[in-house]
Amino acid sequence: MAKGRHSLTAGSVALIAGLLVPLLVRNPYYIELGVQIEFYMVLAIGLNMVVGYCGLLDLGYAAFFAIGAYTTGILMTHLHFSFWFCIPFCILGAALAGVIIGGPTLRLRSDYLAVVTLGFGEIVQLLATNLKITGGATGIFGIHPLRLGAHAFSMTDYYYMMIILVVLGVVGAYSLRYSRVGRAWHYIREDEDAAMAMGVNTALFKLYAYITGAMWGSMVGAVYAVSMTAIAPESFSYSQSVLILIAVILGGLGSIPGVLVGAVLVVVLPELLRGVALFRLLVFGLLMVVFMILRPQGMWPENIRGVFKPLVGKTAGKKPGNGSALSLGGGGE
Amino acid sequence: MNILTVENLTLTFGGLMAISDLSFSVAKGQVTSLIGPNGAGKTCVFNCITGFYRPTGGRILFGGENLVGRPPYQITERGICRTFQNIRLFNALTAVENVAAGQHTRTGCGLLRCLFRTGRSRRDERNVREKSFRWLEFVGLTDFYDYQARQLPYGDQRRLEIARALASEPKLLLLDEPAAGMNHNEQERLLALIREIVQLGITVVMIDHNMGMVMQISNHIVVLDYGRKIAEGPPETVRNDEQVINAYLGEDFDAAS
Amino acid sequence: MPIWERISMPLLELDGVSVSYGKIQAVSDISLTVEEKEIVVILGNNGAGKTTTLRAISGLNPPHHGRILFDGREIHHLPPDKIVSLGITHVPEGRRVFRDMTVLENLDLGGFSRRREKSYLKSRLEMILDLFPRLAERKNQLAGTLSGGEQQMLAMGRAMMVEPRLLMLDEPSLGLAPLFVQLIFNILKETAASGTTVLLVEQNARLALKMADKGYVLETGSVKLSGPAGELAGHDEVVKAYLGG
Ligand SMILES: Nc1ncnc2c1ncn2[C@@H]1O[C@H](COP(=O)(O)OP(=O)(O)OP(=O)(O)O)[C@@H](O)[C@H]1O
Ligand SMILES: Nc1ncnc2c1ncn2[C@@H]1O[C@H](COP(=O)(O)OP(=O)(O)OP(=O)(O)O)[C@@H](O)[C@H]1O
Ligand SMILES: [Mg+2]
Ligand SMILES: [Mg+2]
Repeated sequence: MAKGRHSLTAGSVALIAGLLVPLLVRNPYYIELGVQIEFYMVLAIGLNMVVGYCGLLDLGYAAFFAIGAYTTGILMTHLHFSFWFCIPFCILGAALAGVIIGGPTLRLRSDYLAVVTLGFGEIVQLLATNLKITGGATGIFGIHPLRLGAHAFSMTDYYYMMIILVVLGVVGAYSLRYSRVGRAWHYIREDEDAAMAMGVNTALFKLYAYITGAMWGSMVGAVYAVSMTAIAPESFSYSQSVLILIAVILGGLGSIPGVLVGAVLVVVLPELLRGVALFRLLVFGLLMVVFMILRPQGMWPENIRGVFKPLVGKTAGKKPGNGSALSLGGGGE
Repeated sequence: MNILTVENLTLTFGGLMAISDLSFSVAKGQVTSLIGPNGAGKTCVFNCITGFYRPTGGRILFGGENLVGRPPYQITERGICRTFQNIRLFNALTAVENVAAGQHTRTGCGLLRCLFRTGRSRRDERNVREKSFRWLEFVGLTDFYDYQARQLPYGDQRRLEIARALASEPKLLLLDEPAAGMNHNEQERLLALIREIVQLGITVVMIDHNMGMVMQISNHIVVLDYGRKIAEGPPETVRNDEQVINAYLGEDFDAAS
Repeated sequence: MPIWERISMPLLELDGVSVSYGKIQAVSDISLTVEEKEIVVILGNNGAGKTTTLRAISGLNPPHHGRILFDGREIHHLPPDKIVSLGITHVPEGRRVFRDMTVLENLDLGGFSRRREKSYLKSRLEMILDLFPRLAERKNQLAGTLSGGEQQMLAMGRAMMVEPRLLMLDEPSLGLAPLFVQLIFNILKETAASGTTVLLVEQNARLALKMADKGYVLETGSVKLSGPAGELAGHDEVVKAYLGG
């Protein structure tokens, strides 16, 4: 597909530009901004699997981000785990929470999920604010940064580390999209009854989507904890979940280049609007409305057509099974 | 030999008897039609067979096993697939990707295999793609492979739904009003298509109000009215049955069809 | 305009109408006229553009070329709700009922444009429930759980809640039992006799041509043939393609 190649070129150019940024820009403000963009990119990629691919409205995605960050924070400060050793625990914790929340709700077909995930997000933040082990409202600080030998990671190192995560996320998301599982998610999104009739175990596959998103989000949370060295409940609020969701919708539900663009917008727009100080969020909100009116499908909508290309020269003459040669060609003359 | 046997099937909604004590069987390799007035319970029978509705009573035997209580996906796995009376396609997806849905139960890669694109998943993908295009060609929609399902005209959507069902490699195919929305010409083509499906060794059960077509292609017809079976037999018997004429066909049926 | 022109003026006129979906031109340069109290049928193959033509008239897919005149007035730039309020009702393809509303609620919505006239609506509702006794039996059932044919009856009933000046139906016989198709066609005939003009798309060409005054045959987006229904029914090509002669 010409269009597929199109986004591949755009992706490579963006990647190279991304790699060059720290070499060209010395101002730490921009590096930090870059890291922030990257976090929203990976989170948006994760949420996109849930909302964009499978059509499950998750309003509490930040909860999994929090589970990863707090698990890492607690394990590293209280038990002095090394960072890498924390990751499996984060993933496990998120998967468990995902099953507990998603298991019962995903069986139901309607929009209960939105309400339940909303509540779940609130609960996780409340727990973080009120438990002793999570450090209450002040959160956890003094998390040791990553080290490579004697060298402690700088913001620029995290910037590169996050680029790797973005690339992994993009590749993973693409692999899933063009696979049996990703297709099943799309079928569920489009018509759950029909998906069921085609043999998709819809309850199970919805759970897959939800938990994949959860595990990925918590892993990102772990990286967030070490890179910031301090975490506090307000980073995991409802508005955080909403911001990630906005990145997905603004960019284009289901579209990977789209959600990356969405993540950039979600970080950069408020920064650009610093000048209007007080009205920043108001203007941001208005801009969002304008964007959605102008491009209701998002900035870079999903390329539905690229999924299967015809097998040139291969289909001709063949019939499925042991079919006879009867010609039925040419629908809709 | 019978591929499917329905025994004393009953389905009620509140006080309403949608199906009452219905028994019939479907002979392997043949075309069996289910006809009857609007609201007679035909679609409900399909919904019970495919697990969308849970019958209030009775048994549905397929391959020596009672299907009652099984969820739809397990029934599709066992080799029964259906189309819907109100076409239910995956509207935003392309025609091929719609057909690929049928292959879901015939491939088995889970989350990890798909994520890491293992050899098996790549092999599966090639297969799915190849088969999807072939079934698309089988129903004559190759040229429209990258149209979104919703962009196809009604009649083509019906054929696409059939291709999707066929892609699940069913032993038993349930078609709910496949000829609706087709003119005479297109019905002729559909008829040929169904004949070809039967030649592939697939048993067909069809619901349709187009009597010209039903009488031409069916080996056996079951007539329902108010959820009960009022007649059954080969087309010649059924079309001359007094009760069927009164309830369904009308006096001047032959002239009208 | 002078009275004599008004009298000879068709109720609906399409003049060189073209409609496309993005790059796909679905209907090109179609012209047709529908006289008051007439029944006009549009025939054509799968994908010929029949549905698109009706959607253009009701403003759902406005034409990018040509004019649509209703009662001598240009309507092709009006939004769908304005077109409805002029007295054009459209029963869309494939029974679009409000699935999560009851039968009665669906019918009530059909009367929305004359919602102030309580007693008028009441008498219409009674008439429709008389016409379709099955709907009366299922008054409080959710429309989404009705059988296909019952939904089709509901879609028609809803369109007939207000007496439109022009009733457009996209395949009204779809999914209806043979006995019932005849009943529906009789109802349409009565409707036309009582002053409503009918424009329908129909696959059951035999019955449709028997009932209609005039017919148009579309092929790949253009008018291939047109004429009085009786003549069309005898036309070789029509017989071959649509009647199965
Ligand atoms: N979920 C439901 N709740 C209540 N009533 C239902 C439900 N599903 C079906 N019915 C009723 O059961 C009866 C049988 O419906 P079914 O859809 O099987 O009819 P059908 O024979 O397929 O008719 P048609 O030819 O019009 O499609 C109908 O009267 C319908 O209203
Ligand atoms: N939303 C859409 N986007 C793109 N193309 C469309 C869309 N809807 C219809 N078309 C195309 O427009 C053409 C005419 O379609 P239309 O639905 O008007 O046909 P029709 O005569 O009503 O056919 P049928 O008898 O199958 O209902 C077809 O070629 C179809 O592919
Ligand atoms: Mg039915
Ligand atoms: Mg149409």
